[in-house]
Order: sequence, then C-alpha cells, then structure tokens
Amino acid sequence: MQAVSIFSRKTRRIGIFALLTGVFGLLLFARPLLTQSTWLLGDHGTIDEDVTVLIVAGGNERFELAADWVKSRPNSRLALVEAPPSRLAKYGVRRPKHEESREILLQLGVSESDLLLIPRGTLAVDLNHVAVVKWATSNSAERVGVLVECLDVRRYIEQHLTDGAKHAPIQIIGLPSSHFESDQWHRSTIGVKAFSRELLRWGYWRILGEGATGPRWDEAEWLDVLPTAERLP
Amino acid sequence: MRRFRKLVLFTLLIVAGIIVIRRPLLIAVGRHLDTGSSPHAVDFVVLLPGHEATRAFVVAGLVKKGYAPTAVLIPSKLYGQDASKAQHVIGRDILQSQGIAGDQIIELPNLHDDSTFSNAESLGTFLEKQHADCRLIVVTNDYHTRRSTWAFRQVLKDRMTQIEFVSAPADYHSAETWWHSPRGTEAYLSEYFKLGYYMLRYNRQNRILFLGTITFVVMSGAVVTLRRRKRKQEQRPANLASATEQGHTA
Repeated sequence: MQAVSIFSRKTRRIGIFALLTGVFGLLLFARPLLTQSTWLLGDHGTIDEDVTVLIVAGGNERFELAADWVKSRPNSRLALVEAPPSRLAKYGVRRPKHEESREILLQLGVSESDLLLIPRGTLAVDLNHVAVVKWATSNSAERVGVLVECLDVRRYIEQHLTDGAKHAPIQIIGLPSSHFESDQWHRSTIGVKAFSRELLRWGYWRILGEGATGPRWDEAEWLDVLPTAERLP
Repeated sequence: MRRFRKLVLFTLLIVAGIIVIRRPLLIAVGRHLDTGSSPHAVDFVVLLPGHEATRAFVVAGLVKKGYAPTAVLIPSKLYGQDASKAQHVIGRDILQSQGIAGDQIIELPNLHDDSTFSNAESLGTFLEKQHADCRLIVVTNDYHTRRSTWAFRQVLKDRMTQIEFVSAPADYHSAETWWHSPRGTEAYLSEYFKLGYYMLRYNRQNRILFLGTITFVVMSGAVVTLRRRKRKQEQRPANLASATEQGHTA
C-alpha cells in the first residue's frame, strides 16, 4: 500500500520535533516573553538634554511630568497637537481634547507663553504623528521630544523614521499606561486588549501603511432622511 | 512529490481566487456583522454604552422623530476619578444637546462591568420588574449588532420579540470600507474575535460542541494514524518473506 502522507518520514519527524520544541519553548519562556515584550513597549527613557520642545501626546502622568520638565528648564516649551474636528465639540458637549489638555497644564502652573499648538490642517483622525513630523521639519532648529503611552513607542518611532529625517531626530519617550503596568499588561483585560490593538495597528502599518480613513458620519444628513415613526400593527 | 505539487497548485488557486474577489468578500464579511433593522415606533429607545459620539445621536434622532417618547441609558463603569467622562454621562449630555428633555431620559441602576452581556442582564431586569409588555429599540454600532443580538438572546430569551436592534453608523469606516484603515480593521476583526469568545464563554452548549469537535478530530486522527502504522507493520514481514523467496528462486 502507498504511503498517504505527502511528506517523507524524515520531514515528518523534523516537523514534529520542531513543533514540540516550539511548544515547549513557549511554555518555558511564557512568563519572560509576556513581561519583557519590550520590543513593542519601548523604553521608559528619560528626556534628552537637548530637547527644547516636548509634545504631550499620551501616557499616565504625562501632564505632571511635562509641567515639571518645562518649569525646570528655561527656553523650553510644551506642545499639543490640535485635535481633529469632533461631533461632541461641535454641539458643545465636550471641548476639543487639546483645549482640555491645555487647561490641565495651565492648572499645573505652566505659563501660557510656554505652550504651543501644533496645527493639524486637514489631516485625518489618526495622523497626529504626521502633524508632528511636518512641524518638526519646518522648525528644524528645535529638538523635539514626544511623550506617548508605552505601547505606542515602537509604532511612533518607526513612523517618525520613515519621512527621510528632514528634521532633527525626534525622541519618543514612553510613559506607563493609565490602566496597567507596562510589564504586567497580560494580567488585565484592558492590558491584553490594548496590547492586541497596538499589535494589530503596528502590523497594519508595517504591511499597508497609514491606510485611508473614511469621512466622519454625517448625523444631520442621516436625520434628514429618517422617516417619522409609523406604529406597528 | 506529485501529490505535493498538486496541493501547492490547489492552494495557489484558492489564494488567487480570494485575491480576485477580495472586495465583495471583505464587504460580505463586514455586512455579516450588521443585523440591525429599520426602526418602528416603540416605547423606549435604549442607548448601549460605548461610542456615544455616534450611538447617542441616533437615539436622539429616533426620539425626535417620534419612534419612542423615552430614551434609556445603561450606566457604565467609571474608570478613574472623572465622573464627567463616564459613557452614560456623555450620552446624557449628547441627548440633552439634541433637545431631549431630562424627564425623557431614564437611567438604569449601576452595573459591575461594561460587557454587552451585562448590559443585556440590566435591560432584562428593567423589563421584568417595570415594563413587562413594552417594546424597545436598542441602538448600537452596525458592526456590534450581531454580538449584541446574540448576547441579548441568551439573557432575554422569549422577550427578544419585544426588542429590535437599530444600527448606528460608525465614524470613519463602514462595512464597505472597513479594511481601508487600521481603525476599521481593528473594529471589525476584534468584533469577530469577541463574537467567538462570547459564543464560547456565555453558552454551555457551544462549549460542549466546541470541545466535542476538538476531541473528535484528535481521536479520529489518532485512530487513523494507529491503524496505518499497524497495517504497515503487518505488511513489512510479508514483503520481507516474498523478497527472500524471490532471492532463493533467482
């Protein structure tokens, strides 16, 4: 009788051996793999000495850190990226995010003159980093640092490196998340969700680039075409 | 080797086919998640927590166009200290900004967690204790309606006839464009993952079926492998004997 498998016995044995070794290795190194997956998390490095403009983008305690930094360094400034147009802001339910952040920084003692707003123009909702790069390119005398949540570090660094470095190098500083310890992300549902989400975004970015974000839903148009109610029999 | 080539060719053909029809395929994958229907007049419109910037505007629109006199909010868990950032608080603010009066909004009792399943439980209690015969519209985002319908059916069972789901469009992506952006890809792919998780986590029959299938596949594989091995072992001495016989004859 002819053998059913399409692989030779030697290939099968090598395959089984590789599979078992892989599973055993994963089980053995599960803990260090989870706790030290810093390739995505990035360093929680300190801010470089030559940074002159610090962009407050994300991460736990970013406002406190940024306020302390700018107060301790003369000739340095903080910057916020202009938030995309939002429906909540349009109807006065909430203020744009950059305005909320600005108020927090002012309450922490940062002076008005030390705050910059980076314009976003017509950039889509997920393209804050493009606004930062544009601004850094046109202000190349400044050395820019960006405070981001630890999970965003890798994607931010890679995104900032792809523009041909027409500006001074941007330093990305990862801060702990508001919801979980960076090396304990796998212990909470929020951490696992955030890690998986970032992994997917990073993977998407590596394979397909920025993508094309569609237009915002038009609630007024929707309401116009919604017929008035008809009661069911 | 010929078998291996055939397998590679078959795989390549399948992949090429998928690439050629990828657009309708991806749209079908997106539309599969949307089980929402056209709205009818009911007694209450319920806002499911999350993505208030779209869902709450749909709830407000339905109340304004006379589909229901009252909107129902399901409170969400509060993360951090800032109560103004709680989802149901934002939801209430949006409804009021759209002209819905405070007495047209009902807030259900607080919950311990934010899952769609626990939202269904909260609404089940509301129906059971206060409004046994009322009809409801539940508003959630289009890609979230299939999982919500499934979760609500597990909790409310026969009462599902009193409920209809209405889809709120999402900002920046739809079933026709979800794979164009990381945001849409994340929303739709994670929704499929969550749907699978819900089906196993909250339904005992599904769990039994899933484990049963895995056990069946593993057992069948083991039986086939063992049989094949036994047959080979049986054939080996026979082949050896016939080879020896041929040698003697030569």
